[in-house]
Amino acid sequence: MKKKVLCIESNLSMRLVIQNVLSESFRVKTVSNIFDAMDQLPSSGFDCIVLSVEKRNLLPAALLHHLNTSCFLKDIPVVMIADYENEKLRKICDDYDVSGFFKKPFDPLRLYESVRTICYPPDTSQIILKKRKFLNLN
Amino acid sequence: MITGILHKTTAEHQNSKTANLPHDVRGCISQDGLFFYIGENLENAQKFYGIHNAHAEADFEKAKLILDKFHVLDLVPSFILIDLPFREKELCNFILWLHSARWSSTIPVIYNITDCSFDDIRRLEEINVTDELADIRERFEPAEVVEEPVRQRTFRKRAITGKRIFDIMVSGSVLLMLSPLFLLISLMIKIMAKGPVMCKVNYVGQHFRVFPMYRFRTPGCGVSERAKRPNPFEAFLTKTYLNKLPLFINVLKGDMSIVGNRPLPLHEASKLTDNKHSERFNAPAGITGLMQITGKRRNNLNEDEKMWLDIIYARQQGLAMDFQIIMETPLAMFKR
Repeated sequence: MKKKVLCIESNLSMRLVIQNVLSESFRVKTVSNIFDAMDQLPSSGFDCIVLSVEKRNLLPAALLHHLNTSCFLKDIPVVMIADYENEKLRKICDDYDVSGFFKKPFDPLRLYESVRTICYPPDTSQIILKKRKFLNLN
Repeated sequence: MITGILHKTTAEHQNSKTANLPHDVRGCISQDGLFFYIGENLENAQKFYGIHNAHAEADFEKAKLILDKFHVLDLVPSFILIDLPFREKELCNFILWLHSARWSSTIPVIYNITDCSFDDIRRLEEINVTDELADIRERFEPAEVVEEPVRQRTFRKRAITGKRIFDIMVSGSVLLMLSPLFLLISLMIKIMAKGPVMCKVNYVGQHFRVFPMYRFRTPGCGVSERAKRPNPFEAFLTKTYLNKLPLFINVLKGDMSIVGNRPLPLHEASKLTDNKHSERFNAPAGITGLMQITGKRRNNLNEDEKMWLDIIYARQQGLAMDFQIIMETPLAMFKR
């Protein structure tokens, strides 16, 4: 079963681009603002959030805070897409342990890879097993 | 037409509140919700947008005061239409004020761009104030009995289906009629040089859909081919655009359309995924398009102008425009 991703992006065209790219491997729900996202989050069991941030809008930081303080939602990884980059934003990413960061314009296929790695992390035990086999340790 | 596209629950909620309102405010609220107008030409705006119930204020400061009063009454306008001369500072202050509170930050704002310059419109887009009704439609579910939006949506769906049917018919016919030519070109390519007849390069289409674009093999078609010199037949294919004939296979598959925006390679498309340019991805990639019919001027267009042509097509695409582009394409090809 495909994992679920919530995409919060205010721009309709960007939302369609992200939805189209991610829908290959994920069930993608898109919303245009933080309030709709807050309505969706508690009930839908998302595996990852793609959060778009605009310079004039500081609400995403409020959402990150909301996620971090909720015991049900704090484990959901967040990938951030921003139209700017500065110290303050970097600090927000560090403070709230953001799993990935992309600055617009970005390569949507790299975003897809990033979300895929987060949602389907490579099985480390298998890698160790292969390594041991390769080194003839078994 | 905006009438009747508001969320039903919002309308019901507001109806229950109207009994306790002052007379002038009550007049602005119907089951369609509340429309807030800032400007001095309400009558024209009402005619233009087909709305009868509106509250009007002449400037931003008065609007802020009245919006605050609305908030006390637990009323949120369904949208705000600004019909004032473009003064960026005042407008930004107002937008920031709207965004400073949760209740007002989600109110869609429409700006009347009739008298705006090109730069003003770009600036408006940057601060996410729009004249597009799409933003409104996106936020509100249609009410139960709504004729106009449903008709519009059906028309849009029909237009998309019509375009697809047209693409299938044209590309199918072209492939069928030109199949002997395809065979001949393939044979010639095989005879002249070793290797595959066609090459596939990944391009980006509608909504950043990556697809393999087919072309007859010529130098420069694939990355590895770039260094080689073309043989005479390959040069002929390139010069006559015959190397692009397999694009009709892409059209038949649904990757592309006959008319659309320029298909972009991945590295170029990745540079356009921002709020300003991404609108171009709302239209499919096409064999011909607005840029191609600019004829001689095509070579003089800079990247920004090409981008704006793509965005204009994405906004105004329709069967009528497609036919016009198709009719003008042969002429534009001869002009080159």
